[in-house]
Amino acid sequence: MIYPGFLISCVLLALASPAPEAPKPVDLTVHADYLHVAPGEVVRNALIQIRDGKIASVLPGRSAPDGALTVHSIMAGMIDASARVTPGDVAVEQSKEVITNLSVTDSLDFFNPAWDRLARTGVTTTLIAPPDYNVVGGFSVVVKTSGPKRVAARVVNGASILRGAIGELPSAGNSPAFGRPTNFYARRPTTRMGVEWEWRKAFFDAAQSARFPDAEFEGADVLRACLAGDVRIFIQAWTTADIRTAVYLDEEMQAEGYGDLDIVIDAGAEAWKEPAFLVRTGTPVVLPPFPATGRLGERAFMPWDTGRKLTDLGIMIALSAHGETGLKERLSAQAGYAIRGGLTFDEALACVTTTPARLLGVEKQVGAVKSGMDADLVLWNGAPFSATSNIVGVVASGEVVLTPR
Amino acid sequence: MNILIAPILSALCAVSGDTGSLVLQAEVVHGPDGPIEDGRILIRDGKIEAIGAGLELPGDGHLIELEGHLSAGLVAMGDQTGLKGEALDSTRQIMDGADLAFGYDKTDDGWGAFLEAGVTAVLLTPKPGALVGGRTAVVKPAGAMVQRRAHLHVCFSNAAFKSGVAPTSYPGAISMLEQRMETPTGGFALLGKGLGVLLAAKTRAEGLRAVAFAKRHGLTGALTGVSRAGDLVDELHDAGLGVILPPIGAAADPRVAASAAILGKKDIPLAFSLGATNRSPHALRISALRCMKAGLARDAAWKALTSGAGEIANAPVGSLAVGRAADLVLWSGDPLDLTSQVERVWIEGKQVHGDDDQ
Amino acid sequence: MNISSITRLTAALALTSAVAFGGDSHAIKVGKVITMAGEPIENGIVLIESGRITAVGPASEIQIPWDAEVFEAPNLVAFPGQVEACTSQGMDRANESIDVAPFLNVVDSVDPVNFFYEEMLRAGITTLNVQQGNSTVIAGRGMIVKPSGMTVAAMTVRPEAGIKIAITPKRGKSRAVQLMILREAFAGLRRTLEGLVQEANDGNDHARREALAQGRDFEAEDGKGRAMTGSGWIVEGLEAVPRASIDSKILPLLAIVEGRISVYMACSTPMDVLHGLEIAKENGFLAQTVLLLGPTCWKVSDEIKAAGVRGVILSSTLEHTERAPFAEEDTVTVLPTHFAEKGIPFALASQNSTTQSLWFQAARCVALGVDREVALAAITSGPAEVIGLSSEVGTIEKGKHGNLVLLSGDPLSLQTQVRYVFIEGKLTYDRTTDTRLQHLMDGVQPEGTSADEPVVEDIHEEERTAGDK
Repeated sequence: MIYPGFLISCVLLALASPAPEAPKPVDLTVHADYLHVAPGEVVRNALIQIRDGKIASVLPGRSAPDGALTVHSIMAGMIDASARVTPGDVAVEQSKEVITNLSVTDSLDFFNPAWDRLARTGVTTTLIAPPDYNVVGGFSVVVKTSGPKRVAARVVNGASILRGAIGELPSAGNSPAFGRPTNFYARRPTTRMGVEWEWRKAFFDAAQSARFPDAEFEGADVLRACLAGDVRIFIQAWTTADIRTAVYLDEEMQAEGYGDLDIVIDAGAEAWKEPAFLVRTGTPVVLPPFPATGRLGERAFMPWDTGRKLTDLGIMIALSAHGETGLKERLSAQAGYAIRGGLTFDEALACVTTTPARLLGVEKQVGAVKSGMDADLVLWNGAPFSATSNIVGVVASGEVVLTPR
Repeated sequence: MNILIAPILSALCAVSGDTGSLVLQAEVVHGPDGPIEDGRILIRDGKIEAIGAGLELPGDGHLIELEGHLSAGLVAMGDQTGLKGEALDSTRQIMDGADLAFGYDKTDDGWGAFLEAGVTAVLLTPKPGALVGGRTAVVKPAGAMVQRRAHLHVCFSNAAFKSGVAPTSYPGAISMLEQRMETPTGGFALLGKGLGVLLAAKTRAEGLRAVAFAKRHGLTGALTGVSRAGDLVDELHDAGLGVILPPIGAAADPRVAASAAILGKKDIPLAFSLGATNRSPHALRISALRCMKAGLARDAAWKALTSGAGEIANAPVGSLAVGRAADLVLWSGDPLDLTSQVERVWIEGKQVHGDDDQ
Repeated sequence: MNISSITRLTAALALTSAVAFGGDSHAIKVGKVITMAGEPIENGIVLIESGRITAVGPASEIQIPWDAEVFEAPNLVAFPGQVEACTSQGMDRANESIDVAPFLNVVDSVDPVNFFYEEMLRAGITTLNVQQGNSTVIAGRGMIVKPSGMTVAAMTVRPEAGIKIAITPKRGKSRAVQLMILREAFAGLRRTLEGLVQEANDGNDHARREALAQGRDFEAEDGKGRAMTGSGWIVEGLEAVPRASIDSKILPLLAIVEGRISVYMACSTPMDVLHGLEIAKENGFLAQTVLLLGPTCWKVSDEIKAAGVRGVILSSTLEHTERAPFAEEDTVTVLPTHFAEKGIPFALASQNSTTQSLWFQAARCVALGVDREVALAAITSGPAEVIGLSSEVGTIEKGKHGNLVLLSGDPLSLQTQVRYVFIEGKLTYDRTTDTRLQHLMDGVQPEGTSADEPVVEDIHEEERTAGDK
């Protein structure tokens, strides 16, 4: 796994130099025997000072002052690149097969108690995508799981991420027209190949619109931005056949000279089957939760060593709970399962913090416990991800959302 | 009920003829500036000409001395009585040109219950089953049309979505509305020019999106259907919108009434809707009382039933102001006491409900 | 028989033949023995003869018999085979349509080649109490089995080891009807017994002749009458009625009332617990009742504690989250901690072999603040106690079955693997030959099974290589 150099720079300075004179008192102080600053960086007996929702300083070798929250281990708040807190099918516009000018943001309900529940599982940042009932469903949005119940307060400025799907779901609700078609569900694709055709048509038309002004259509600008690599595309593709389709789409656009798509595979359960495709396009994968039986959505099979296999091949992976919040399915449990499947602790930590942060373009703000970054912390009563450890506390943007008992 | 009303109407026409004036005196008159002991209301040509404690009886005047409290009639918001099948047209999603006024049926059996409950004005709204369900109207129960085009009814709740018809989603709906606001025609063009907006929603998140829409386009009007709108008080205040609360029954979430108290403290204009057809109009007073119990000031609760509701309805109803139509209710006691009964009701100076013993 | 079951059959035969030559004496030498009966033993030896443990101790103190087959694994940890206190899996179908069916027996339903037993074995579970499902009123008789053997007889550890009684209504029934049927079953038993006593006193032996006509055995104990025992109600004079002349359809009910068979009582809500305790008390089977508790039943833990049942089994939900009407915050109750604090011993139940198996449930208990020893006991000695088999299984102690799991490390670690499982001294599971686990862990398809998908040729290969030229 590759980690960008900038992660190391600024905070190490903060660690080395004595505590700077605080311009105003800190809002919250948290102490841990072990602080996992970032994958591969552990600070013993760390004191974390928080001011205005940001980490003000990280001081090594300190004992816990009176009144400070103190726990065994602390790591950065987790980032789920495939969380599912939407009102369901009404979060994605289905009247067109390819929607590029809408965002799931307009459907989010921050009053939904699911956000609090998610935050208390240690997930502090999420990518929320339009549900995959459409070929291209519109823009996803990076949001914090806690804070004021207002869109403006929760959205994190990250990469622009368009969402789409290959596979069964985009065609699942549709049916062929019998007699006179009465609604658009009779027009939409009813097969995998129909879904694939919509993808290729969308980008082909967008490429044509760049050459011929007459070919301009609504939303073409977004597709052109995708071809230019300015907009990232998360594509849900469970099976190896669907992952292959996504990679071919990218390669076809390159071969035609239309552009180079910046694709991330979401729910890539079978990425392990033909990893060579992903290696040659450098496509990252967000893995769905590990299933007890290996079987997942759309009959995909994901063995438990998937994390290890893909990491060894240099494929960037993030773990996700894909909407699950149960004690045994949540994101922190997924990291544990990935370790059971052969990942090291640091690799697993990266899969739920720094790597998803990079995939969402928010790595400067979240994903590590360094001064200047958001004060998003997960507090453990033992070694993180161990089956005998539990998340006992969560701090999100400096607010304690789960108080250690 | 209308069978009962008809003979009363004819009887009263004889008493207060078109030229003569009527003076009503009651133990307490709930005037616009507060209660008046032994107050009098002078009515001429169906309008209020004067209010006060010691009004002289004009030469052509006829004085009726009443026991009990005299107040403005209540205003019910968001009702589909008398609209029958007209409350929702499922053929299209945006009906900005449709006037609900054309669906109003004054002969409907249901209006009698409104008079019995002391309601003298009703805001007719479409059912929230289309994105833009039409233009609301204000009517008097079994009586005149007061305001033909009060608001454009825009639905931000998921009730607006129909399978197989655009939009199917919140983002799609908002985008569609924004497109119509870019180059407004029909009802959209009238927004802000006499036509208010009635933002229908259910959840707080839908409410926030609705309020943001109104704010973006500088629209005036009210949010309706969000039971816990108190959590949106800052946004509502910023946008200058009122709130129509759903009926708050005995079994309702106590946070709904608490929400009304929050809105009242910030002086957000309030009113109560009946929510659905066949809901007893008595629900209005019950809702107000529950809100008072949760901390809504008495004046604010009364205003929400009368003049405040009138303002939100965008029509000259709900107030005893001089010059307004004489829509009055005689209560056996304090109207905010649930044991008080409606004794008589006048609409435009004509008694339409109750005994005519004097 | 499909291909996979043939594979399994051959694997099982191979294992049987592999251990056959070793005779009946086994010495298992490991880096550590967690006995669950005292302190762990470093460099320990477990001696097993004829399926029973004969000695456990440090290598320095144990003399290995000359004829013992020695299994040496200095890097592994021996842990007692875990005990699944109550399951309804591994059967043909879990539920019977007859409401009151204590005359049925799951011996006719247990399916030895069901993958379930393979999964249990893989997770290190060596004793399972198989009871009918919860959609019943009074179920058939359950049994305790081990997850090895090709026939039910070979799997049997203890037949007729309990009866499921559901207080939570059977599908389609209300609680009122469920409890009416349940109470009527016991009232009916009482009336029948009273009738038999009356007949016997009247000198009428109609029942006896009917029983003889049905060919029932009147030998030994069954031919005699025996006074009724039990703490609930008693029918006086039953000694006048030979037990064999009592209809065998109701005999299991008599066994319940006389306290001779365990009752596994399914309660999904707190109110079910209260009704169940009352019925158990009335009919004298409270002391051999084990409660299967739904996630909300912690609300009556004081009543459970006071009732003095034999044990409780927690469902796989360890944290119960609820939100009171009109509340803004969730209330979370950690169930194992709650029961531990109330002083009610509990057994855990697993749902599947990996993410929700017994060891994982125990690990989650520790994570949630339960003492480690309490959590480990809840998957070994605790459930053994609950199913009335504490003298046989649940710990590594002299005299008990030689049921051992050899682990690669700490029993509660995510990285620990179950390497070998011994049941009654026989090596029954070997991870290196577990092809199905390999498939789950690394995607390698077991030989002879169909591939999920055909391998597709890379259609762009040609274009790319052409480009390279």
